[in-house]
Amino acid sequence: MKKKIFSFFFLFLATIGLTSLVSCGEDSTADNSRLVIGMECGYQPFNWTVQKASEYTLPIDGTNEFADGYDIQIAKYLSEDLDREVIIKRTVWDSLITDLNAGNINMVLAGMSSTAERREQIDFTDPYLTSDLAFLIQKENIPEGNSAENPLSYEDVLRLFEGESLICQRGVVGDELIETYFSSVDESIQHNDPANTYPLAAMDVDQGISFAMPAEVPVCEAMVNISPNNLGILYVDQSFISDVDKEGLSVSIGIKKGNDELREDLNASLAKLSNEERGKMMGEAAQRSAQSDDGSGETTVSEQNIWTLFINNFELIGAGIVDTIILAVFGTGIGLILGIFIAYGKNLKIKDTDKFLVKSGKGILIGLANIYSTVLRGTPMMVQALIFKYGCQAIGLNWGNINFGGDISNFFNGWFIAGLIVITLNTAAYMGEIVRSGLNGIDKGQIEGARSLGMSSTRTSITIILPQALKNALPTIGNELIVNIKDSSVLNVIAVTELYYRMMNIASTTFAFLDAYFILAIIYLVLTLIATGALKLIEKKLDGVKFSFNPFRWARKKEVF
Amino acid sequence: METLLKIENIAKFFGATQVLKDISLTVNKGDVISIIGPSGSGKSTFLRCLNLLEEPTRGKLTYLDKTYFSVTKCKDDFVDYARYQDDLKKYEEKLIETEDNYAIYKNKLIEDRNNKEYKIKCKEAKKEFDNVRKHPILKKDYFNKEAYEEIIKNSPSFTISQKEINEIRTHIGMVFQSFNLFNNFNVLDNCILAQTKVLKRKYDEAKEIAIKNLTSVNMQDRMNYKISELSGGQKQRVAIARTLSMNPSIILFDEPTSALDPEMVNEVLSVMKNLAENGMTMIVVTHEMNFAKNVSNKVVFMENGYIVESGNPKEIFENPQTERLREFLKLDDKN
Repeated sequence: MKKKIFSFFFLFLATIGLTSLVSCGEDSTADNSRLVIGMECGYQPFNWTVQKASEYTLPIDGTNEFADGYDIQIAKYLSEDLDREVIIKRTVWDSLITDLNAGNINMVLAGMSSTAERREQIDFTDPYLTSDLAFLIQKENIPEGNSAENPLSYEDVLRLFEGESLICQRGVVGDELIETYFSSVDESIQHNDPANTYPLAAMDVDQGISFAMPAEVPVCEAMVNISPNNLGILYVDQSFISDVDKEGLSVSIGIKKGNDELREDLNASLAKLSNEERGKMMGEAAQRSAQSDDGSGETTVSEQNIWTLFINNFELIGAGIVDTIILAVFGTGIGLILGIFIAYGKNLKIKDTDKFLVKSGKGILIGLANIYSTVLRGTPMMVQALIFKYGCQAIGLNWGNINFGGDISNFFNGWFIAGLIVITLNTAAYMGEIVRSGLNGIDKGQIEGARSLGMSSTRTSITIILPQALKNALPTIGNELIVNIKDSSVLNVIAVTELYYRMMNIASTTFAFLDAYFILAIIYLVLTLIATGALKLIEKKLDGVKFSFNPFRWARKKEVF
Repeated sequence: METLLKIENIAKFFGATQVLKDISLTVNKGDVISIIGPSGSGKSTFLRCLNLLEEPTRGKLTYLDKTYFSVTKCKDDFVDYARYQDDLKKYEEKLIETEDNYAIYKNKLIEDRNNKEYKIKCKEAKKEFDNVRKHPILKKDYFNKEAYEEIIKNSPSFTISQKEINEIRTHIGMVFQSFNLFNNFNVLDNCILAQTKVLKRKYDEAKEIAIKNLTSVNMQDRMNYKISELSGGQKQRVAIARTLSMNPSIILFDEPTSALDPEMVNEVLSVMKNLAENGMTMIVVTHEMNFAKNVSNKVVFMENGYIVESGNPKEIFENPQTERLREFLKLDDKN
């Protein structure tokens, strides 16, 4: 049994090694023969994730899921018009530009506006959608008679917002407009901290925490679906917005600087698409985004309860659970093995009688072990993950390019391996300390007993000291496993599709944030309970007490005391 | 009679303190040697030097015809060197202390220039500091370190490899005061482990030997017990069986009954008596005077790192030659 576990470990390590080799050989997507498109797949109505394919969807690369939305319709149109293959890659919003410049994707089609700041980093095509600014607001606050044909003037809007607060998504144009035209003009208008996603900001408005949310009309239309009975759209007169800011309200395709060939192709193709067609696509997309995930188109999101949410998304959640368990178990296991080496490195002692070479070698090992455990324990795992991701990209190794294909890619892809490496290296630093305290807790007599029988120091360590040290450290090792089950969630920053990431996606497509996070909490709780129970069993087994559910046995045992 | 172990001029330093001064002893086949003496007299250290669990600073150890440890250095130099290092350490500490003291008053004087008290104190502190600095320890004739190190370098010394040390340890077994049984193995496996790993015996053969020895110490009923389930006396018997399983020529006992309560002492002593009657060569550090008197054929009385008196038990117990031994035995009788 022991051998089996070990060979499994080595197989796993070998896989990691091989895949990193494979990825080194893989070429990036710098050429224009294929359209490799990066998007969030969680930014309705431009793009979002669905489970079932339809005439409106395209598959997301490296997963079993599909993307829908206005961007996808544009992508389909471009694919047809330019006669090129299209690949959709899912990336978090903040990394879209980095990925573009790194050559992992060759265009950003993600509802991104062309702002001066962004133009410093990348080029943009002509807008593929220009829309008006509107506000998402509770229905009861909309003045009578307000409509797209009869918009509210800027002065009236200022009067309406007096003493109220505004919110938007972090890093989008709407958030800047709050600052420019409202909070700096009228001091009584408060600019709330931006939310991470539009749905979260819309929730704020729905619950009355913020008064209104500025966004493009299609976005507002999509967000109304969070709570159709409560939320509405406030149309405003566009004349107060400067030309520069109007630019920000249109969305364009981002491409790498200097890729003029592709830009001209795209511009020519977009020019053939009329404004009416664009409007129709957007309208349909907004409508689809309002419908529930199961594709029936009948039940709306707000009618879901917590149970149906769980059942409908069970496949996704299950994949997330598998990922989280693999991350925690293998991260802790391999981390423990590495931790043993670190513990022995830290415990090395330089003797006066050692030769110079031995002395300096030991010195280097002690130093390395100390630096490793200090640095990795002193920095957050989230930061380590990001440094690992961008560090690897800097030396030309992109984990996102690793793809195993088939069913397995649903929970086993390049990012997953990157996450596994990060959690393993992080755990190893803690395990080093845990094992070291275990080693130091062993009575010196155990060593003397073994040495007096003629055992070498290596054999003494392996057969006598280490097993006892690990047994004594088992509760702390188990604690590390439980911590890892929960902490693996921070790996979502490098797009590891573990439980939290999956749940976040489900929440942003169904808008059921409270329910989704409640389910998430319960799943984590159940996982940690199972882990605790399993560890107790192992401890009991090591103590030589045979585990049994026989109550008479327990009763007999009690009599003894 | 065949000489098994020859111990010549063993000395042991822990830093500047000399625990063993000059000990020589010859162990013949079949000898049962009891080492008695007050606590802190170096008995245990001496025993641990014999299988190199503690490396002697000087001396020569020979098992049969094989010399496994030999360092020859002038013993008087040793004491001087230890004293010199001790002095040097004290001197450095004193230097730092007086310099700090001087610095404190100097700083106070800078803040308050006209304070007469500080002026006097500062002068005193400076004088003291200068005195320490003039300490003769820095002069060459105080201790000629180079010359000493030359002596050590040129003195013939001889050490064997770790592998050979391990080999020697299989011939010289040891039983500890605190048993030192392997807590992660059961009774039987404790006796089998070293046989298969060190002597490379086959498992079945090792098991047979282990069972035989466990039976000889009357532990055959508890072979599958965990170590934590045994009493102290049982643990010590298992430890003896574990050592016996290696078929050693000599067994060293380091106060084997000191950690046991009186009832359990006897069960261990009777096992040891059996061993002695079967002709096992033993060196026993003990406080059990009856065992020393009745079982051993030679008794060694140690104090302050020296062998004060040695001889057969009858001589030692009935006609002690030195005042110190008389005193020691009288005290023991009272107890």
